[in-house]
Amino acid sequence: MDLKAKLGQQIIIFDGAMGTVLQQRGLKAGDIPEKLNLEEKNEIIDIHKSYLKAGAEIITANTFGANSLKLADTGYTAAELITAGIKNAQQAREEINRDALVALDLGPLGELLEPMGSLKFDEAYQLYKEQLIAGKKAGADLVIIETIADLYEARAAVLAVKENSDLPIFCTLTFEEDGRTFTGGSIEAMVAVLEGLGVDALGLNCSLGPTKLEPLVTKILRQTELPVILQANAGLPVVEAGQTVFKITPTEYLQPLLRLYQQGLAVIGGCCGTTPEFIKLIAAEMKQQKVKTRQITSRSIVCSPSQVVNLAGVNVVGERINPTGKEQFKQELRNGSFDYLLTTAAVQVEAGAAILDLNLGLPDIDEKAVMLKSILELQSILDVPLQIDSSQPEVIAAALRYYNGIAIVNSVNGEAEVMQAVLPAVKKYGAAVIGLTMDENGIPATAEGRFAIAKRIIETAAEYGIKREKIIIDCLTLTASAQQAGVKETLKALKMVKNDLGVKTTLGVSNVSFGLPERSLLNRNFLTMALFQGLNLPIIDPNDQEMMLNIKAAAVLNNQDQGASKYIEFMTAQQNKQANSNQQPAKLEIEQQNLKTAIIKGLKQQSANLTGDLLKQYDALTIVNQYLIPALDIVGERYDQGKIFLPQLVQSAETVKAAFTVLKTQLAKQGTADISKGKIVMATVKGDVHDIGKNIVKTVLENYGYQVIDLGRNVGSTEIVKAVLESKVKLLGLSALMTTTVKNMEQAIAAVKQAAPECKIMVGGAVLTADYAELIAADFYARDARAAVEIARQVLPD
Amino acid sequence: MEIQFKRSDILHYLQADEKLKDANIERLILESITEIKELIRFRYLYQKFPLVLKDNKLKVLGTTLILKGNSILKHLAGAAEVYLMAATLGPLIDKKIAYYEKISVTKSLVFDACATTAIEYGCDQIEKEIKQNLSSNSDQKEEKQLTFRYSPGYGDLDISIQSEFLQVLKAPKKIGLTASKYNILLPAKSVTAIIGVVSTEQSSKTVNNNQSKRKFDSKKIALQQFEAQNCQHCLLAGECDLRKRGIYCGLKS
Repeated sequence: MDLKAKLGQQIIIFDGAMGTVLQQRGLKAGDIPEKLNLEEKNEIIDIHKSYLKAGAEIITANTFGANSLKLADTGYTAAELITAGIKNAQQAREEINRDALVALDLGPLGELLEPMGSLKFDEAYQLYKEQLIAGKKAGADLVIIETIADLYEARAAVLAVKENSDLPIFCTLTFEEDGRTFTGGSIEAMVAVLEGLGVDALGLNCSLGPTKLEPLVTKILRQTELPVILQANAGLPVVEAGQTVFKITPTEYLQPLLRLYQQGLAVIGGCCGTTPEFIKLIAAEMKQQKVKTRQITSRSIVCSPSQVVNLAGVNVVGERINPTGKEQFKQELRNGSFDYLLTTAAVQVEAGAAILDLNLGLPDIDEKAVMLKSILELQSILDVPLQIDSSQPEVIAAALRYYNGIAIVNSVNGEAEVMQAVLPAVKKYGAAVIGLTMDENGIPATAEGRFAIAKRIIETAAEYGIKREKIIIDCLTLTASAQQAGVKETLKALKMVKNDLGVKTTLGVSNVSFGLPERSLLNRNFLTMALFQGLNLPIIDPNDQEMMLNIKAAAVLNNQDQGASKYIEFMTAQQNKQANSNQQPAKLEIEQQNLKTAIIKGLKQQSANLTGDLLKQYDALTIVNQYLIPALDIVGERYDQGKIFLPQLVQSAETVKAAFTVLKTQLAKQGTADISKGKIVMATVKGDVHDIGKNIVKTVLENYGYQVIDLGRNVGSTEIVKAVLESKVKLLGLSALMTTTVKNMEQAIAAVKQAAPECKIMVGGAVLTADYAELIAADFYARDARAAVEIARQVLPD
Repeated sequence: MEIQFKRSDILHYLQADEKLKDANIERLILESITEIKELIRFRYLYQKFPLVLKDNKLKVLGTTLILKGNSILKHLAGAAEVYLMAATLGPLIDKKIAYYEKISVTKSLVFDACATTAIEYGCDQIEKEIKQNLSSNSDQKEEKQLTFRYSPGYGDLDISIQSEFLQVLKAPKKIGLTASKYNILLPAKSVTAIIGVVSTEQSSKTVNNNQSKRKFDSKKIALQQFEAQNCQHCLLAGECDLRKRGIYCGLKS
């Protein structure tokens, strides 16, 4: 069969279940089905033959779980089981139908990838690559990647196949009834990402029967031009007498497939519970039939697995993740800590940013490494899509490789060299890209000049196979104080680009007001004007509430917010909030007057305000010693006496942290020396994803004036050693919550002892004891946060 | 299944009790519950298997699983059948906990406690469902009873069976529950457990003694029962603060 010629033109019939059949024939639950490729070869060949006889045109080799991770203790290698699996299928083909094709089957690896789990993207890629190479060598005709619930894992598999072979790639994910994968991924994101990576066909398999998957498949059919696959289960299984059985009949199974065929379904097979009978019926009805044509709505989207942003509307891009002029941020990036970055990101999302711009360019850091870690950290807590802002093509390419979703690249311009360096990666990973309307000759003064560059960028991108939907043009904001006439040209160019080139548009807004008083007034007005010319993606500080309100107002006046419903909803919510905050009892206000009371009660905002007031009378150190520390002592005492409980203790600690932030800001303004009592590096060790204990200790240490460089969780020895050496700390705190990860703690201690023998190490965590700490050669055992403070006092005296 | 949040359990996981009076913490609890209800993807599986004792090991028939260790032998004494169960709240809960760790440690602590309450409630409901199945399916001649949930990592039951346990139930594929190479369940708010089916006669030897007291102090009994099975194997047993306060940590290892 000529797959490339037939795919999408004529229905292609796959086979049905392998695993269910094997289990019916006595395979034990929990056993590795791929072992049978060697141990019960004839049985496997028989199953393939029965599907070929039923009419399957592609048979799936029994290689679903044959990866090195799953096979670790079996005595078999992935390569030998895959080779045998492909050979078995080929033998069946030889006997029944020489025109059929054999697919290498790649299933999920069995462990969750970072950031949800601890398996690294590169490890996943290597595991799939190993499978692919064995399958290719054995003569597989195509690859089917299936039953994947995590889009990131699908990306690793697709890239492993694409970068190491020319085999056609079919990829199907498994969704639940609500249209989400187990990990929260959406249909739209799946389609966009897989299409962007250039698979040959995509769709769904497993989880549910065809009736329940029908609406989801319909959705996919409307969103992609690619051939769509469905390999559903034989309905939901029921357990009868300890055996899993599927109740649906082949005839019932066929009905929704016939309907989907009418809508344009191109590849049909079966998953769990389906048998040759099912395939026979499908083949009888649909084999050799022409695939129906269908209507597709093409859209411009960017996404994370769970959040899709349609660029057609107006969406705010948060500009705050940029170290320029932010000393603390710079310091943290150099130390390998991401607290500032993550907090800044979260605050922008809360304020209404739909996309976050990520600029990490600093002369003295490894931008690529920091970019990759930032992406992973951001994706571990937030769902908003990211905009990769870098001038280094290799940083952009690496970021796109590891970003899970469709990112925006910021940016290329009209220079041929720049486009040549950046656009291949944009195409390869299916990203969107911003084109700046400038080139080697600078920014054209006229709108026409900028329009011409925009056109050139779009045309060049097309040569790389990048569609117009992926392109966002930035007509470049000029400064009113320096180039007053240029402001209008930008707006004019924006309108021309929008109307005549049919691409999306972006602008950094605040540049317009540089050097003039009341900047925010000018920014707001310029923003409104740009929105009326068709601006899609204003890059602004979303914490500027007035700018955000302008966007909401413009959406009403521009007839985008239909019936002003979003506007009304927002304003009502604002009024309610206002009303609530007015209802605070008066009595509380008096109590709040005292910083100590505010800390004991855990009132964050009040204690920050009161600290600011006190700073008018006292210096920072006095406030620390006379207010903060005594208040903490009272809280600690009450906790020890059982008068207050852990959440209250932590709440007070966070309140003190808020007060400290105020003090630090003030000191930085005055240029006075830091009040820090010394630096401490902290990390939760490799393999461990429980982080709350360490975070409590960190907060309390910060309360007592220590600067904590937090490396986060699942941190390997190398990273820990690096941070210890780079920040030259004398104290390191490690946390482990599981008996199984204490071993990694031991390794980290050994590595640090060797590289930085002068650094003392304290350890803590639920499974540790003083004896155990000694056994793994830690210097100190910190049973709780207060003990950690004592240790810090000892190691880092005032 | 609709997950409910028992206030007493939330306080328990916050290492607090009814004496906790704090308006802000109360607000955080309410917020957390609302958010968890939105994010939760509670999925579970269970299946019954025959069990045989051979060479001091328990073989779960029809599977590759063999249960080893004194504690599980004791727990399943007299059981001819066993239920394996697995349940998870899904990964969105983990992500939100990680999010709050960056925003507010207090909120993350409260959110985490509420999530633990949710998964434990879910497991209790699964246990009830199993109990109902058992009584509706069993022949009337012999009354059967269930042992409490026993998880890999309890006592000397090796936590390294986690991955195989999940494979037996096809949990990675069916409910998205996996184990890392360090045998940590991921998503983290998940439970795997073994429940034995014993005849009433058998169970009376171990459980009945407690049953008369249960009316008066079920929590205390549960703790005693747990201690007998688990804390004695715990590395921390000697110096555990929680134990001194009469609280069980909930840790599965």
